[in-house]
Amino acid sequence: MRAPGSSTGARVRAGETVRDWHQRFDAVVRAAGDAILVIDHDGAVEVFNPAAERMFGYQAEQALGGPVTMLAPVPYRNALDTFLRNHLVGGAGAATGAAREVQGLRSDGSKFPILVAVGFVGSGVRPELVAVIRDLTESRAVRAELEERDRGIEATFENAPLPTLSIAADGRVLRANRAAGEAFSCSAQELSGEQILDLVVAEHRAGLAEMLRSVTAGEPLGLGGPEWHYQRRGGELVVGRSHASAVRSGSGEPLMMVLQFEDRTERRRIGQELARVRDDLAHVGRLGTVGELATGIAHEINQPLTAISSYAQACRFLIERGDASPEKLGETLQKITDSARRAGAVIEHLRGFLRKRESERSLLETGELVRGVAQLVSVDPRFQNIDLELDLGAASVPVIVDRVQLQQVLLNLLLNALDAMERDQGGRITVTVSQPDDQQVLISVRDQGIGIPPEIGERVFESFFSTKPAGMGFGLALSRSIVEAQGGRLWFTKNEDRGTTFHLGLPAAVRPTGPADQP
Amino acid sequence: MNRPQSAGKPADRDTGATVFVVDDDDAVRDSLCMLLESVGLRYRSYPSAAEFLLAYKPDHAGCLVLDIRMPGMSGIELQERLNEIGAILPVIFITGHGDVPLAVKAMRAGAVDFLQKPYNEQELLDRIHRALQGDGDRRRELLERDLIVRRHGKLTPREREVFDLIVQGKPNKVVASDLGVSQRTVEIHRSRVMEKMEATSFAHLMNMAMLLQEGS
Repeated sequence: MRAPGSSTGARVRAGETVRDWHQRFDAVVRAAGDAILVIDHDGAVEVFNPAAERMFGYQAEQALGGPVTMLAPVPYRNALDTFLRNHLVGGAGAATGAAREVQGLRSDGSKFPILVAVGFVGSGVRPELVAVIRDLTESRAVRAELEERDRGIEATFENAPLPTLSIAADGRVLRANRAAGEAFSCSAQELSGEQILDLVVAEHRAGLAEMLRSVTAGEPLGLGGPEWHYQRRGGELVVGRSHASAVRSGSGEPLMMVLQFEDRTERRRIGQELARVRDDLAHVGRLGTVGELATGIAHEINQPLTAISSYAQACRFLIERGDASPEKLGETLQKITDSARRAGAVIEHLRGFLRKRESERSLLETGELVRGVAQLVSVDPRFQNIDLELDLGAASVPVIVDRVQLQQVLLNLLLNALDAMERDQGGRITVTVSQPDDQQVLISVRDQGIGIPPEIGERVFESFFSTKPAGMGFGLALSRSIVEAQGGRLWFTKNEDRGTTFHLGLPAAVRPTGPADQP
Repeated sequence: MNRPQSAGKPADRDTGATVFVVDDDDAVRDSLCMLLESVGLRYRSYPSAAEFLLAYKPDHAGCLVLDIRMPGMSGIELQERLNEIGAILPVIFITGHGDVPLAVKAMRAGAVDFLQKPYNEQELLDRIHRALQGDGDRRRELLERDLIVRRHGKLTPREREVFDLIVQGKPNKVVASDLGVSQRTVEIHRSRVMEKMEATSFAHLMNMAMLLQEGS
């Protein structure tokens, strides 16, 4: 090993011997984690430390005196050769290159990435080169792993099924993923740079701001309200649960927030569509139910029409005979008017029941529901032999329901009860309104009919299931759907003696203070 | 509108026929009565089948205008009851919508007509007139047959034998040989039969024989 020159930067303190210095240099070179080589001006290896031995797979004895170019694979070998000629042989030494990444060649012929920094010793005619070489194999692997992880995170973000946005501390959108773009009906890029608070509808702005603030402050996770509405191209974006979290630096400073939410627009649309379909079905159901009552209704309207026509014709005959006193005519005209009003009232009653409409709830007394339906069936000749008994014990309990739809259900239950009893035999149908507890009110329709066979049981509530020859199998399925949509229940029990009782349980309204509408 | 039955003017004096109206609907009943009154028909009206049955006697002539659907005893049931008691009153049913099957049943049970509400008044009146006419004819026919039956009852057993044989168109000679009597005896019986039956001609006697056969 040759003694290095004084240009290494170490200072030789006064009184220290060159020998001391030598020993210290030797120790540093031996202990260094990086390979340290000294190359003489002919390009031969002069110093080859243990780290270099490990790195290149040569013993120092093998390397020393050999050309340094053996440590470089083609094509670096030529470049190194040129470099050495220019800077050492040509004596142009002084330039100290920045560290550069090249490849090394091990004794076993394998190549590996290295970072080489060089310096020149002795700027005279025979300068020498000191090279410090770091093996990059491991750091390359780390970097690759990091890059891989980055790509993973990137893919997770980009392909997350939930709309996801990263947001800067000031509320600007940094990035948006594809799902977010779809949710907002634009490209993800267009969302970048938007102020997140501008994307939400005005009435929900404060809520979102508060959520982001609490996330930044490290408070427990904020969950959005039941539904938040954002603005988007061509309409409104309905958002369900929102979830936000803060990304912090090592020291805990919030760097950005990640906001993720559930797009419920479609679900809400389907919900609305379902409600509309249910309303339509209810309407069709009413048409069907009224169809069953058609004979009775036509009869009810025909009676006054018949009377009107006969009165009018009688007046004509009286006039023709010259036998029409003004008193008689006046009296008859009044009778005509009365009959016309009577027909009108029947139609009005029907129209209220049949009008195609959206579900519309109001606060009313349970007894009102029952009485209205009882009135409707009283015109049906088929009920003439039926003893319809109303026991309106809890009639005054208020409920918040859709009157027409609930009456439709009751009407259905009454018609079913009628069908279950052999018509000519007659019998009793009892409608009871009771209140089993504070929470609910119960309307029970009890018949003395043939009963529901146990093997059929709950199937009566299935769509398209019917035991009636002309039944569509719609009534009870629809009835249950209507009742459940209004927070109620519909079920039946077998009577101890004979027949069946259908029970319609509805939540009792607590405060009789105007109509409320909870979806 | 008043429920108690109301008597109409005795306008159809010739026959004394009455239109009986049974309908539970006050307005329909009242307007129908006024219509009948306006054309001068005698009528009586009842709000239920039971009330009509209480008041009606089989010899009351006329026709019945009957609502098919009524609480309590229906029109069909009333018709059956009338058939049971042998009342010959013709029945015109007035039906509500969709009662055609019931009307068919009523026609099978002998109703003369049925009309659907709201009916054409003139048509109803025409049918009422036709029914009244029919009832009058039928009653006269019955009266006449009753008379013939009574005359026939006055014949002696031998005269009845002669009557039965001559209305078959058998000449006196054949009758005489059938009965094993002289032709002269047959001639005497024959003239007694003509006399007792008050027959103006042999053809008249034949007619009476046919009426008797119908009735038996």
